[in-house]
Amino acid sequence: MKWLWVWLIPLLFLLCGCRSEPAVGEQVIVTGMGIDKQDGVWTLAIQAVEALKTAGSLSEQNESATAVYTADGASVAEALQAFLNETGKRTYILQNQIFVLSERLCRQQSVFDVLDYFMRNQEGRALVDVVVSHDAPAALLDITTGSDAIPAEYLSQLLDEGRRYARAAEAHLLDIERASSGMYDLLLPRIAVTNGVPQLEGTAVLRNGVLCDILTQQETTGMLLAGGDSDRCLYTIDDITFLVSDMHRRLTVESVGGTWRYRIALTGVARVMEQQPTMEGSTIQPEKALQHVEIAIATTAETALRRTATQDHSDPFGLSRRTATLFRHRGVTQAMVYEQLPHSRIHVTTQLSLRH
Amino acid sequence: MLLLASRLSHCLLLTPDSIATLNLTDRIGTTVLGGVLLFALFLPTLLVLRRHPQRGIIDCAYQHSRCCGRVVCGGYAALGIFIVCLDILQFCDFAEKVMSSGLSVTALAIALVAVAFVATFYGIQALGRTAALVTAFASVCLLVFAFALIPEMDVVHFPPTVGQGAGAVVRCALEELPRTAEVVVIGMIYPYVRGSQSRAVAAFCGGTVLLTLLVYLTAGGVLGDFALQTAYPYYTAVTAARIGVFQRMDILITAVWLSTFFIRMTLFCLLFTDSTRRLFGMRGARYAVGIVFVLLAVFSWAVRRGFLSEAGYPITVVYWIVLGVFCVVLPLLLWGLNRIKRRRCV
Repeated sequence: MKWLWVWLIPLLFLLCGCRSEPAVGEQVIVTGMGIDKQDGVWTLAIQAVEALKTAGSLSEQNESATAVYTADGASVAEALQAFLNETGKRTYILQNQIFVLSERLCRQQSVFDVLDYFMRNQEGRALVDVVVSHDAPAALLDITTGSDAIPAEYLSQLLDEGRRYARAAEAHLLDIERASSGMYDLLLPRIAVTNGVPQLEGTAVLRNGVLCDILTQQETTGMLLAGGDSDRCLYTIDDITFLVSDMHRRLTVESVGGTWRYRIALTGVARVMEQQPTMEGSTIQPEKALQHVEIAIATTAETALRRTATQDHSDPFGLSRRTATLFRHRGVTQAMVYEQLPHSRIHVTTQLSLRH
Repeated sequence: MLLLASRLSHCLLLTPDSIATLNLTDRIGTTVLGGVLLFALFLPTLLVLRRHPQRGIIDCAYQHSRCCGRVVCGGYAALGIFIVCLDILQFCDFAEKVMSSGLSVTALAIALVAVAFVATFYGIQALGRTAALVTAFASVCLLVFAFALIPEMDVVHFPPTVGQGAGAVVRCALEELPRTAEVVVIGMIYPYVRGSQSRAVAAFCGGTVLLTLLVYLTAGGVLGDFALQTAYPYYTAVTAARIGVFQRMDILITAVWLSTFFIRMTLFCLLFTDSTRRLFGMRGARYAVGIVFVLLAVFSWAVRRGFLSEAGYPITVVYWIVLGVFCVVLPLLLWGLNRIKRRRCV
């Protein structure tokens, strides 16, 4: 039985090795990718790490360690091929951190089609951020920041911080994939570049993947709190800044005369972060200001939810799916609720307790 | 553990074909029912072997008559090869769609079959010990992935139940059940089971239900309806797992799947080699293994990719026939013959 060691030989075939992998010099490491389309021509903006600029510590660099390349083509795949033809380098997208889609493109075409190439591609990651850019994607990817040598990292941090305080909707490539199955509609964070500085500028509402509305920053906060996507926010009212946290949402659905009534009750805790005297020099009681915060959150959330449901006919929180789950014993389906959604009534109430 | 490791390889490849008839929420009920039916399938074999815990089903057949033993051996050998062929198809499909190693899928499949056949010479006990390690590692991985994916899960992802009634759930469980081909192997490994055989079988059924539920809940909670649009939903869900700075841990699940798949393939190769050894002796079995290995290599090379998904229903029917013959008809037949023989002796 000594000959049995030969079983190790077939095992060699199972080792992956580096035989067919391209060398580092033959590819660009993509950190951000912008997609735009005009007159039927797709334009890709590829933010890639420049090998020569990364010598030394990235944190000590004064300028961006990346360069932005552009490539055109009849499709995303062709534009990537054109990039390969022009530069002689392949794109390595595993390190990609963000997809920037132009607002114009999102109004024309479904994001499911726009990102189809990347949804099929197994080389990327599922948790890549996706944003809508008010400006051309290349302009957003080409920003220079003092804090980060890689602009895509800066944008990711901006989005992370925005999500923590209900200023930006969470949208990854995985969310686009999930939404493509028709479970719910999408909310994408919107970023605009003002004087070379990127800023969160509300939220893009999509219906079946196509951009149909833009929510303001305040509406975004109300919407994300009401949707249960965020549990904290900063609110400045009557010269007092509150940190609203530990927000809990309770959703109840009732069937009223063939349509649906949604009641969303928000409860949370508010702490005074900062209090400034008013212009007249007097101070306002935090308890009184807190009532204004409650009303402001409820009003903005209600406005945003009603607008997305009734005007935009969009369902970003899967209300139709939740309703179908609750009323399945009556034979209610998701499609039926989705059709009735524009006629439904939505009420939001907020109750905050003040903690000193 | 051996059967559970083998079962895991099928469980991890939660394919849209197997979840199309009912959605993932309804599948939870189906899985529990499937566990009960699975235990019921073991009962005839346990019935015939309970009086002789030191014997396998082939020994029982030989005890009745030499001819009967030979027929049963031939049947088990053919069954082993049939399941190895299906496993090769499954491996090729997964390797082409997911692994993208750049190597020839056929070469990989042949290497795997070769290693599986050689591993059979180490015996069922060595395989059992390996399976225990693999099952423990796989179970830990499944739990870790489930916890890591909690941030990506949402109740809304679970589709509303279709409400087709209990009939649909039972039908779906009956469609899924025959894919648990491990049931037929119990007749072979019965003498090697430590402790109570019934408890071991119950533990296997319970473990299968728990691990399948974990896979369904993870894939359903993360992907929702999107699970129906992907080739391997559980694998796709795991690509989104993130633990600290570690991402793209799908390589880990690929490794786990390959380990469990190796156990499954070796188990059914062992079924073949054990049966042929009883038929032709040690020397004859070696020749048989050599010939079958060449045939399987040709099969890996010649078979059309995508055959497995195209022939889903006919394969389920064949599985049912196989299960019916080896798990119900054969054990009950042997039990009846033994009973008649005993009465005559009395």
